[in-house]
Amino acid sequence: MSTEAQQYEGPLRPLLIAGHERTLERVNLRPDDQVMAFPYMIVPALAVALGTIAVMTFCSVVANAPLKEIANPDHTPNPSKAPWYFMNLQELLLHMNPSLSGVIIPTNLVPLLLMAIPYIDRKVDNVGHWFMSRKGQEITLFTTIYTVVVGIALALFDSYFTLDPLRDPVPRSGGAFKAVLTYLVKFEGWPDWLTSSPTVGGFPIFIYNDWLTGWVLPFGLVMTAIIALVLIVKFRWKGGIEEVMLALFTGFAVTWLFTTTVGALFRGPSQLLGWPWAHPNGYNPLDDLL
Amino acid sequence: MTQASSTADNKSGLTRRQFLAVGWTVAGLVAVGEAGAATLSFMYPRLEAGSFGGKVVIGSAQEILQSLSDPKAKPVETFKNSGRFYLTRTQDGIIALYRKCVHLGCVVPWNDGEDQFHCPCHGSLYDRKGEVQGGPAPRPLDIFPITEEGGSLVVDTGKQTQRKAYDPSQVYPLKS
Amino acid sequence: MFPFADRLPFKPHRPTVPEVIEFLTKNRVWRSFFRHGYPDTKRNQALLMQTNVFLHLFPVKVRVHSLKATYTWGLGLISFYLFLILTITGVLLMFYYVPAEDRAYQNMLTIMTSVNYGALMRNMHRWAAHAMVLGVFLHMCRVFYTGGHKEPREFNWAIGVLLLFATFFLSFTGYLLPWDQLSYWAVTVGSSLGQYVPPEEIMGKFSILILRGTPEVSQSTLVRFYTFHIVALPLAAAVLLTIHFWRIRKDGGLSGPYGKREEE
Repeated sequence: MSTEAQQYEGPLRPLLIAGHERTLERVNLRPDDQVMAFPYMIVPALAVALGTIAVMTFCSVVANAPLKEIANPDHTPNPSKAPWYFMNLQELLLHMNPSLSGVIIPTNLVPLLLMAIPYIDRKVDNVGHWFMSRKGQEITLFTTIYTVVVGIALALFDSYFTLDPLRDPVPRSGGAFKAVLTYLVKFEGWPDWLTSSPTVGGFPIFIYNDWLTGWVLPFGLVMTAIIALVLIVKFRWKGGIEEVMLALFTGFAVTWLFTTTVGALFRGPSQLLGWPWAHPNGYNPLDDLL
Repeated sequence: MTQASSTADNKSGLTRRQFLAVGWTVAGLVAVGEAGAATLSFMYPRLEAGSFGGKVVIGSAQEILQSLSDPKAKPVETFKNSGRFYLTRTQDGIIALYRKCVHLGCVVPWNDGEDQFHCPCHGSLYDRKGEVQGGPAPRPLDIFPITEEGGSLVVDTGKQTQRKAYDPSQVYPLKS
Repeated sequence: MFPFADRLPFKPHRPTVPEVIEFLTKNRVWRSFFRHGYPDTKRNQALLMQTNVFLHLFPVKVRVHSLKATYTWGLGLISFYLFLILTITGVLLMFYYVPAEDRAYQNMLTIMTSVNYGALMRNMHRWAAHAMVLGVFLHMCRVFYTGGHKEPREFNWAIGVLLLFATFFLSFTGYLLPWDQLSYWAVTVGSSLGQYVPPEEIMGKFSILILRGTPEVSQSTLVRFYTFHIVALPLAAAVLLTIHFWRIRKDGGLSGPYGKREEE
């Protein structure tokens, strides 16, 4: 048995170096030790290939891919859902102006900011350690909880403040803001120019127009949550740029998963919120998922 | 040495080599941009006349007005023969509403119980006139002009019109 | 055993397995394919990696740490295998599928019911597509949380982000092809986002028509999505994948705890 085999730590270790564990324990491994790519990388890689094929074949044998009735351009099913990995987008669409949530954020902001991360955060001391450090683990855990809590709060805020619960039960772009502002405008004591501004569709124009309630306020609210997160990381953990980036990426990844889950499971007919197992009309969200 | 002298001669401070490199790079970028624009232009379809986008005959004015004589009448789905619109009654006459939700393009069905159009995708609500009653829709349902041609009413589906709000000029007027 | 053995001019011999192997591998034909011996020596193991055009993307020696299953979870590798599975099953499905409004759905039924192994191939294509989206996303998370995106791997991280989006678009364009209610309306909603490309007045209608070919999802849309799905996007993904893999090697293999740390 060569020393290389003893250094090998990969998944096939029991197979390749059976009986040499005790020897291995005594070997002081240096992290930059190298082994031959064949067999120590190639054989596990082939094993992963076999595993992948086996799992995919098993799934394909036990479950048929969905095929609904033939496309009918005259009839839209209720609800109509995107594939699960776009449910996050569909969820975002409910809360903001579609140019912002459907085009600017997913096709510009997200990819550009993701690509920019390593150019902003240039500290490499902690490369190779999961979540960087003990501090990083705490920040990741905190950010996960923070993001889910903020996400739930925002989704509920948009669902429960509506202009008229009977006529407008569904969240709309900036709908909650429109509702709250309309309510506020009815208060006395506002300057005349504000309350007597021209109305469209029954609302003062600054409420009706989406630039305030569909762009500035929702984006501002999200930005506030993000800035608050950065400040918490800065002051609670004395975090530097790498901790901030860790928190921001975690926020993005958790938001992606969270909005995907909410959109895919918790939205039923007419995009109303509900428990996945208790949607109206016996709607099963799993039917539209894959 | 030639480089030094040419720099000195040249007011812009570019050597001949730099000038050529910049020139070729710019020319290359322009060529790539042109190719991209040409590809987009190639992908941009020229819509055919006929089918959806053409004029659709919906029947005699008499019949249509009769079937929609009641102001509370259900909108008429006119989806046959390449029609893709609803005919509804307003206080001023008959209006042809494009069936697609202006939010994200779902077909908006009429909901009898709620007495309004209710989009299944994101819950936009519209009344008989196509005006937004709720949901994310940014503007009323688009309309097609209705004209009378030789005793029949004709809807021109090629002239899809966006509007900010309902006004009586959008309808085919009631004559009674 | 050999009935007329005593009459033969030579002594018959039943070859052993090692002798057969030697006969097959130690001749000029075999040697013209594989220019190395059995890889049980360092020299042959190195030659195996170097003389194979595919394996040549990898180094001859790798760091022990990069083979730790709990470091990579094999996510990048799994995503790549899923891409291969999708390529193979996808090519097979193309033999029976025609991207035509009035035939696509019938083709799907044919594949699911009367083509031998048709249902298996289609199921595998669908499940592998979903698995790949998930796999690529998790791979991105793994790379980020172990610092694999940092210098000198910034460029490869950017390529990876492009690959994530290529995966999304590959999956989404394929979603329309069955031409059932699920695909038709998902794509109607998804492509309607084009109308909100700012500035909406100019770019909205333009984007919709470029995406769909008609104002509504139709035959033209099906052909456009099909072409993107089977040619344009897979080619783009393959080119990006090649750069991605090559870059891993050029950037010194997988990331690992090789630098000095402030604490611990």
